[in-house]
Amino acid sequence: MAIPEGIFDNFPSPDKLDARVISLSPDPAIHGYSVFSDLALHYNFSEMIYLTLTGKTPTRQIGQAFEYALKFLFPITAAEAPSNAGILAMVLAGAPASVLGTTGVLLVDMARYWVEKHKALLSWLDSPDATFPEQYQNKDIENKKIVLQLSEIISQIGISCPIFEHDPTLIAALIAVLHACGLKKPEQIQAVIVFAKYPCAIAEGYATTPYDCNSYPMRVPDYKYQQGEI
Amino acid sequence: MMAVNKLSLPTRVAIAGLYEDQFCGYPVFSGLLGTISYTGMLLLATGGKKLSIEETEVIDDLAVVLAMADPRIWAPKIARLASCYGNFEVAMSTPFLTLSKLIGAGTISETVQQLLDIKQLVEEQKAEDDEAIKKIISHYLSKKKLIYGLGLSGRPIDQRLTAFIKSVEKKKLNKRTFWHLQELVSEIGRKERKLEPNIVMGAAGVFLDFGLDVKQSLQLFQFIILIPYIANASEGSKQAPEILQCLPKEYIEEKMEAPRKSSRALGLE
Repeated sequence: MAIPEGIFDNFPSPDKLDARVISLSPDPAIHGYSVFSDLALHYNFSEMIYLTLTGKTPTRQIGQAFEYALKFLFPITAAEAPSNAGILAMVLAGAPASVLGTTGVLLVDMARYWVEKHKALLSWLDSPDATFPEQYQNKDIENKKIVLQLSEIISQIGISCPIFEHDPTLIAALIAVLHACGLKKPEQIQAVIVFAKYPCAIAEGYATTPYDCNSYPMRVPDYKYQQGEI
Repeated sequence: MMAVNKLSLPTRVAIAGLYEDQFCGYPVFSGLLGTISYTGMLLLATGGKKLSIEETEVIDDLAVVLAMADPRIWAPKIARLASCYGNFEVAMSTPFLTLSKLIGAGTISETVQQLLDIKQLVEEQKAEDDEAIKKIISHYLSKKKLIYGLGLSGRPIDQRLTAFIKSVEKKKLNKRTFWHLQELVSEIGRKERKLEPNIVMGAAGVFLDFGLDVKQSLQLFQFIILIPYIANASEGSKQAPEILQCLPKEYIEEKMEAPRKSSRALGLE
């Protein structure tokens, strides 16, 4: 039986895929800047991430502040879901690729969740004359010390960050530093959180013995079954 | 401007038509609709042949008995973790990311391959009765450290396999070649290795009798076992519990290096 012509045989569609950031030349250029003969020689890795996300090369000041923001965002503990899932992925699948994939997916969702929870903060950062949203005020004494340390570093670099006058949480302060560096879009902040935390998140999974189901605390938390629909 | 060659690849999956769509060799509306179940469509999608609704009912039964969705079990637990920020879709990516060759669904490939290997030996040695086949199985298993489709944790028998056997018998599919072969492997495993068969052994027998190969068996099984993930991802994303986003400190046992100073902090480099 002859197969009839399909809907998509003549559907209007371009013949080429658009590339908007990285050129296909042997020495690829990012937003026009050569990787091997320019960026690799004059910018560090975090500054190249900055350029990729913003389209602009950072000043030395911005580059430094961005680097510190990444460092302060870096840790994520086994208690947090992406790392916890990385450990469970190694227990279940015994494969580093499973740890990378599972951790990556959860980190992306965690970053999305955090950025959504800080929507009001992003609005305030765009108009800092408004009242500071109190949900981003720090209530943890341990955390206050770290925020103070970050505040001093950012101030020494010479970046103005008015959020520090409002006693913010660490994550609010870091989002504000990124904002001050020019990363103002939620998707840019989400990406930076993922890049910064990925090494720590996968490290816990990699440090786990493959297939060691008995080492994973299956009743943390415990679940108590109740009859009825979900 | 240089002319671009038209890139093209062959497909046997589908073409979308104006009045009729084609899917895996069949017209969708006039050939498949009403003659095939959802499970049958899954089977077609994996490259398997078209089975009758009655035949695919046994795979539906398999999906039912596999609904061991207790959120404390490792596999469904990953869906709980992945849904803790309220996102069902994220949780549903995890079963595919954490497929294991030693635990759960992933063992279907090895179990199917094991039955195919034994079948080949039986044919090569022209074994005709059960006793001769059992000798071949016994010899084959004696050389294996790990036998797939055998072994359970936390219970004496696999209640899912017990239920599935009844379903296969009810549909009179228990006289087919690979179903009988898995029965013999289970018998020898129980007798000589003191291992009870699990549901993957039964699934492998049915899949092979339906003409699936190793890859198709794995692909189909991955979709059949989604129900426990769906249920946990659904409830988990509604709960979005903070205790899963970050476990309380007292539930973490720190086993890392003791605090120390880096050589740079000490001014040594």
